[in-house]
Amino acid sequence: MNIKLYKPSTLNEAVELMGYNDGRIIAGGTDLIIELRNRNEKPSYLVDISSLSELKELRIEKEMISIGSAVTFTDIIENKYIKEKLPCFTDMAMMIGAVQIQNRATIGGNICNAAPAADSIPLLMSLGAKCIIISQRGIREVLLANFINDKGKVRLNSDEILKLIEFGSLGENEGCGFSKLGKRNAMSISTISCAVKIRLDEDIIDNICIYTGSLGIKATKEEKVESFLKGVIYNKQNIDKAADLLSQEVSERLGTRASMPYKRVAVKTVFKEACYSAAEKYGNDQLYMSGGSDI
Amino acid sequence: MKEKICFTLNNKYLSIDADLSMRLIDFLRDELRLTGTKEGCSQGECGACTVIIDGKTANSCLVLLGQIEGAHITTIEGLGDENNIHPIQQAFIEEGAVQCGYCIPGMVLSAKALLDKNCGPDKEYIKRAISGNLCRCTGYKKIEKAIQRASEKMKEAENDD
Repeated sequence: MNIKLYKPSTLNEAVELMGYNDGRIIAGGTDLIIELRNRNEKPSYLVDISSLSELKELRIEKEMISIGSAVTFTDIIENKYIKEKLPCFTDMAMMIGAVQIQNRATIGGNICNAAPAADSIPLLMSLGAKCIIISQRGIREVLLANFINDKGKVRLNSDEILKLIEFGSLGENEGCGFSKLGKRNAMSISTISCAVKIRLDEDIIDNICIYTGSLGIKATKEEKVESFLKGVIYNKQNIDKAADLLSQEVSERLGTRASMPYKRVAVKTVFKEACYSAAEKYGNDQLYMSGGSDI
Repeated sequence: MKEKICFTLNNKYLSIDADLSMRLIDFLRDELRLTGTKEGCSQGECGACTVIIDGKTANSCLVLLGQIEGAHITTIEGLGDENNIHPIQQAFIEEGAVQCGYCIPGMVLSAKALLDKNCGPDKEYIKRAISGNLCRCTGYKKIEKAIQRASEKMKEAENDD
């Protein structure tokens, strides 16, 4: 492709390289290489960060999980702690592309590519993830929810590199779930995705955070549904009502789009799946007592 | 613009000058004439161009040559030939798992990466391992069986040793 490719050996070198004009970062390359070939992009040079050890750290501390931007989805799938404590994260990673893609694609790339159907974004947003960004000017932090600007656009200056993503570990009475609807199991771009983080105080929903993907230009916080569910009892009736409310929201948001009649119905099940999976350990007894789940 | 790059390809150490922004598949096929690696969709969806990089499968259409500095690469040419066939290839023949054959190099390499890690995979593991390899002829059943058979062959061979 006749583009100069730099392979820095440290993060500092990479940061320095990005200080010049018109460079592009390449990590897994699973999106960028296609764009480069389509000539949608013609940067002056590429900076390959895919093997920088500083960006490949997956740190799990008592209260905080941090994931380096060059960590691949396979690294996430193979991490035993994540599988045990945050199984929705493992599930999400396993639903991305197929093994070949999971082996190369990185979490930082999935975020910075900012596709409306990116699977990791709604889940990370529901976990309240922050992006740590580095440049020669220093380090800054921004909430992932504010980092994604538009379809395919993030608030990252040309000299900056996304260093890592961090979020708090789940508390005792918290759970998180992710669900995705696609056209097939593997190599499937999300038609709808939904991530739910829930905190239960016995059977009362103390707090809930809901993000949907593929239903707009970027992942969307479903605030109306959240406020409906906050403070109510976690049971099948309330989750069903919330699903109806979400369906109404989606039909208004998608308006006259051809996918609206399908998505407004399908979103209910995707949402319920994410909800039930989020509350699996804590509260699904209530669901079974009131007639079981219908998903 | 050519620059130096070193890596190991099918157990041979290579040190060459090349355009590092070239895709790995183009380098393999056009420069080295290793045409066993096939190009299908050119966007990471079909798996025909699968190679193994440091033990993990990758679509060689989505890797730039410069990204494999220092890595160990295995292509289908690194597995076996007519005189010295690899047990996975043998199992594919015995099960009749090959029809048009276009997906087979990628399919065999996905099977190899799986069996190198897990010598007795169950059906679900096999299905997941080849989930990124499209086959439009066979319906996958015979391929799944072939991988199962290969795992048994490879286990037997290990026990004989």
